[in-house]
Amino acid sequence: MIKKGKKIYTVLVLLLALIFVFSGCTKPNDPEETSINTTEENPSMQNGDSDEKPKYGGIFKTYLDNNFNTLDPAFATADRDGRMVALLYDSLIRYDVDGKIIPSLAKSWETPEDTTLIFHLTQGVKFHNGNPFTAEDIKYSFERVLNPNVGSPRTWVFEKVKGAKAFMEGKADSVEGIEVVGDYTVKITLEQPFAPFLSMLGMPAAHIVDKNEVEKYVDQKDYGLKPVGTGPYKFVEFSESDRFIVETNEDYFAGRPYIDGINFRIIQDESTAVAEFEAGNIDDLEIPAADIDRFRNNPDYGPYIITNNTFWNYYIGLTFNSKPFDDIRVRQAFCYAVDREPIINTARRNKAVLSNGPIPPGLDGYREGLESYMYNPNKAKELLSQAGYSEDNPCSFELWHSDSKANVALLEPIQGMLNQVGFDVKLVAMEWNSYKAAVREGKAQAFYLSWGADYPDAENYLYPLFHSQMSGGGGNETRYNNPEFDKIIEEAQRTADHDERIRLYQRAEDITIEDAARLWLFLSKNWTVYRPEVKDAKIYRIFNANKKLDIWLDR
Amino acid sequence: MLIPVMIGVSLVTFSLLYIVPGNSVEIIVGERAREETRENAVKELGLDKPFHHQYFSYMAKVTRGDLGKSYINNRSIKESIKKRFPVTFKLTLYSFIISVVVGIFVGVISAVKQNTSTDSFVRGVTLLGVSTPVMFSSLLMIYIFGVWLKILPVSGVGDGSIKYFILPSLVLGLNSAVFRARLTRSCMLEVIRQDYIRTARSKGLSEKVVIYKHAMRNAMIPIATNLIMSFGYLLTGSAITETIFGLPGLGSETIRAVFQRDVPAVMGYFLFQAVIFVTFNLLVDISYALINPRIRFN
Amino acid sequence: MYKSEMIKKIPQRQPKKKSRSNSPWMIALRRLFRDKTAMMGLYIIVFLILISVFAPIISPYDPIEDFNLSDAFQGPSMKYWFGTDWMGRDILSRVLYGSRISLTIGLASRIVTLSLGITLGALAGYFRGRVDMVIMRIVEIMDAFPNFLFAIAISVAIGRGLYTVFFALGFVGWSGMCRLIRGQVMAYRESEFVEASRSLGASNLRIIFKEILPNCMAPVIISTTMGISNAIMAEAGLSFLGLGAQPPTPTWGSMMNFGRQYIWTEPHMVIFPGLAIVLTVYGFNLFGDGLRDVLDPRMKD
Repeated sequence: MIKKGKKIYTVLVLLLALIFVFSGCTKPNDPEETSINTTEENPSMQNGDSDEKPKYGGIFKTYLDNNFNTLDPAFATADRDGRMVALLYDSLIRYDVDGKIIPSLAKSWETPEDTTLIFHLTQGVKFHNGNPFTAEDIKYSFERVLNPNVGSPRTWVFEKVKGAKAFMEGKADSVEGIEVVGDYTVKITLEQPFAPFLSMLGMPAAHIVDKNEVEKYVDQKDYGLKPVGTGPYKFVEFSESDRFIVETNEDYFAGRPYIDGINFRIIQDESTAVAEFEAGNIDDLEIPAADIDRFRNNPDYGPYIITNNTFWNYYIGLTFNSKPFDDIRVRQAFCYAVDREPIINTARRNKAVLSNGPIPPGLDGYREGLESYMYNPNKAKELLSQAGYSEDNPCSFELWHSDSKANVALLEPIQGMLNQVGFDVKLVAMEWNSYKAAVREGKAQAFYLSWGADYPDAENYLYPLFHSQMSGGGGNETRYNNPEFDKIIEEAQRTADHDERIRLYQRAEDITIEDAARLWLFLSKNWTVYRPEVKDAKIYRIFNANKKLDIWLDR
Repeated sequence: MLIPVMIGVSLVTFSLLYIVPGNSVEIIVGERAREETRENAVKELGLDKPFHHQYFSYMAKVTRGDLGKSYINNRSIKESIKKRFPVTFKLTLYSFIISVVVGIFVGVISAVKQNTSTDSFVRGVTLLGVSTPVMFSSLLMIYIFGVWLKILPVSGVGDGSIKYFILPSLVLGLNSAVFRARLTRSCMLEVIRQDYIRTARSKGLSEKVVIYKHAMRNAMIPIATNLIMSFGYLLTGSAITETIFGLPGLGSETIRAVFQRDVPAVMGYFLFQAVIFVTFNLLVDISYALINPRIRFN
Repeated sequence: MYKSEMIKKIPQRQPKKKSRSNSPWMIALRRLFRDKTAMMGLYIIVFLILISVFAPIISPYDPIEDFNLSDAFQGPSMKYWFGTDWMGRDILSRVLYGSRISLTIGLASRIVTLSLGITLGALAGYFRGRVDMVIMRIVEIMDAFPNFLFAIAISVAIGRGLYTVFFALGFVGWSGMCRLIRGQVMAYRESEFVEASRSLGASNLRIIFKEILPNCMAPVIISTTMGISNAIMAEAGLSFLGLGAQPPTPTWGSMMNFGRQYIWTEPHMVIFPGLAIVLTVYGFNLFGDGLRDVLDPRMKD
């Protein structure tokens, strides 16, 4: 052992080290300081949905369920990150409440050919740092996503642009298909007709950054928390796991938002968020399934609840190329064995609408009366016995899911029902990363996942999920492989005629349902309750469409 | 002691993280990413290298004082510790105060009234308190004070003022108070039986003076040295409480990092907590030596 | 998780040769039976053991297979005494079956702790020198990990499940046990009765297991009893984070974890398993506290 004197010395050194580490601590800012109450009224502005005149001013207090990872459009892959990017930046187009495409940085566009898009840009737009926005910024931002040195995970958004491949492989200095025609005109040329391309331009990766800001940093990843965009809100402060504060961009080109800013608290625990809302500390709350009835029946909250169907479609994937689901009879037995309606009504009380196929309502191609695999335990038993299973020889497999209470609440009754018809199911919960990796590698026999729209086109629910080229990382984790499907969806992508394209989508959808590669469970429904003072709040169907331009506060 | 412990802690943690299937790359690249993108991300993080290579290059950075950046959000681990530790420290300090006040008070009472009904009642109640899981009592507290009475905030740190820490400190402090009470009781009992207490009593001093002046002062010595260590334990043992109350402290962040396989973050936090542990251990040794000069390091 | 506090209070019993009714064990036992708190704890423990053994007989329903979605979310009633959960399973039956898991985890994790702790502690204390040095370095490293966070890391690394919990909780606690045994063994290895059997040619193993260890049992028993309640709490904590035994296995921790999302509307889903944990941990704590008083000679009146 060491001598006493030496020990004291060691402790002193350690203490000094600790003090050194914390010498830079700052006192947390008082959030009140940032709230400027300018309650000016502007009668000429639009009225929105309520009968009252919108008021300017006030800070909207809300929360995020977790930290975002980055505010850099090129790296914003998580849903949360994408929503924040939409507040700080703009893209050429944006989506309205229902997911329809509307102008944004591009005030108009034309399509002289199937492969060409010409955008006319809004003039007089400025970045938060005062720099003017021009067509060059479009080219820079899009090429940045494709640039292999930047390493954006979203290259696929612009992959179909002419010359993108050559640029990514380093064979060209710029992307041939992105041309700056004038200061306020951009022409984009595609390799081949690709109908959904326009709608993809509202994705987080297609938001426009300022070259001067990004290139300040040697490692572009350091730009992540220093965002400078053109969007309706400006970055003020982000304190991890604590709060994120943005203020209104007074010079926003489409008119400044009504509110003066947004204070996001980061509240990771659902029950805590509920308690905070009830204690009056936050202005809105996405109501957890368990609490919806309670909130609806409470006269203080009931009238201020807004509900909307989302584009999130939940399913159980059955891996095509491994036992036992390589047999179509087993897959179909699986689908017939699950009585989805009552499960959804209990486990996802009020939060789900039965889903029968990949294309969700609200997108062109959705069919109202489509029915698939209605509950039929006898048929399931019959199919299983045809496939060679019996009571003594149950069809056993593992159903993998990412760990969450809501997932278990849904999957446990499904497990119970499957076991009743002669399956032997083991639920395996995994942490999201390992789960995603394992599913991607095709190790899961069956897995529970969901798919949400990156862009509002039914193609987004077919090509990535079922095309054989998308096996693994693409989205087709089930290894579904049907050449007929591949042919039809490829044809649809090339088809410019809207109605014909929709017909092809529906044919493709029918094939996937017949093959039972996925059991579609439900579409999630969003319930958000607001404080009575919050007016004209809306739930947008596309995750990153809400730029918080219509919301205002009456206080 | 510090160096071998740090090497051990880092090695064990690193191996644990290494055997975990999957890695942070999934979170970074998201859906539909190209295979090359994923491979590039893996390469950039050095995850394709063999174990010893990854470990040594990490440790080399640590010795230079660089704890690296989070895989998930690219933020500096050192900054993150600097920001989060004060929250954990505050929580610990407040719970510690509650724990000391309640624990010593209860301990003294039950020692003085040993084997009476007061003693068994107090022991019964404190034991019941410590038998309640933290999440159970947290939920009750949140419901009663935050939602029902609406007098206290139930999550976050807000402007950092003390009201945000009251509920979590109560949960944590009362939970550890029972250990303090137990120790106080036995130390007091031991002292009360000593000759000088008997002498004091026989001199005709009032019971109060005997207990609070003579007995307590002497019983405090072992209690005080124990306090140092338990402060250290509290400092690294508040993870669940932080998670439930949404406090941006080190414990909840460590849980986040472990779940997301954020290797540099997990390593950084575990190493930091090991430093705290070693520091407090040494403080205990020193305090022993200072308080009781008969103990010498062999 | 307060290892230091637990260890520093460990009594140092004087080794005595055994004689029938006046052996220190018998005295301790008699004192134990007189201690009301300890007996209260013992009754609770026995009650729980009976429940877990006879769970299949006394449960009104099957905890896993008897689910009925139309009976979901019911409060306590004559049909379902403790109410039902989100898929219409009887919470009473699940709580009764849950005692099996909790007690098993309490015991199994202690077995891991004891086997690791006793083996390494005895080796370190008996052979000293280099063996001691190496083992104690490992113990120091183990101590430097925050216990619960380390258990989480282990559970995440080797995958969720019941066996993981046994291992993680046992593995996290062994260093305290190791220190304890080492100290005891060191105290006894030079004592007369060990010398005596050594001079009779007994092997090292025999000396450790037949002579020294039986004399160290008192502190081991105390620390194990308290350890069981810690392990049950820690299991609840791991389940709270979704790392415990996986569904549909009924465990109190996971019942609380899944019930928590309904706490504002269906509090019975949390309260009953929560109370079950409190009762169990309380029982072991009472008993452990009594044992400590009884086996600790300094406490003699």
